[in-house]
Amino acid sequence: MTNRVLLTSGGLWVSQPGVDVLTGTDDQMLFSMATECLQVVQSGVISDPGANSTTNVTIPDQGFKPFVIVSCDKYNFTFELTSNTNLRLKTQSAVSLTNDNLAPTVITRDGSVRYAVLNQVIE
Amino acid sequence: MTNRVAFGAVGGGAFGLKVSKPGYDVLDSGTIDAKLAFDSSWTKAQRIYLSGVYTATVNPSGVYGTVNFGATLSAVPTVLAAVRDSASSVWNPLEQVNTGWSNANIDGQFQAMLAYVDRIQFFRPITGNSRIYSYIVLLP
Repeated sequence: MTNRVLLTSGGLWVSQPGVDVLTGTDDQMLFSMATECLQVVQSGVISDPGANSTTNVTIPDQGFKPFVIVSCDKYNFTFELTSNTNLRLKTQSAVSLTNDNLAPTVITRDGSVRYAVLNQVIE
Repeated sequence: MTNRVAFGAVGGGAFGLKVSKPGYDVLDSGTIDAKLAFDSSWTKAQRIYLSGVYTATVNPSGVYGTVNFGATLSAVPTVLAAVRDSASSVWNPLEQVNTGWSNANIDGQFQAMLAYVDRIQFFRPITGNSRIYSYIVLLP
């Protein structure tokens, strides 16, 4: 049976399935104390806020302004961390879609804004 | 010496494992998620290879600045990144950069960031202010 977990006074390692934790490289570890894990500390979906709108979202205080992933199919947008606990999302105009190769079609796009607050500092 | 690994009962009849980042006591009740390197209660986790901030100064020639990994990864990594004007606190996703400071005239396309197995590259603005890129490189 493959050794998968190693705990010593120097740390803890968990290898990927099929890799011996005693001989595997750091790249082959599922967990190693040498590297951090990315964690989503809060995520959510904001119903279509409309163009040119501002939405403030309260986020957990991690002691720093965190990295945030934001996406929206319909609007251009920006985001700002006005404090360690406030995420400000601003939509702009709707994204203009053009396609020179197809006849004009009506594309229904989702205006909801999805976000994920990570456990990493943004700056 | 700081306690960094704890496993056993975590309450509610459940058992788990927690590992804190260097310098943080895993047994400190005030240790929040942001100070943990791992917690078995997390539903999903992805290991981070590298993170940081890169300041791209203006260069009218349309070139990229480079962050070298100092190693070669097993595959091109996923990179999360956002960018802002150095004179503003407002962040933009890389997909929505203002092409006014780019070289978008090349084939009508503009790539603010390029990822390789051993480095990432960020486009340097051709005009205006320098740009601040924040990035997180995930282990493949």
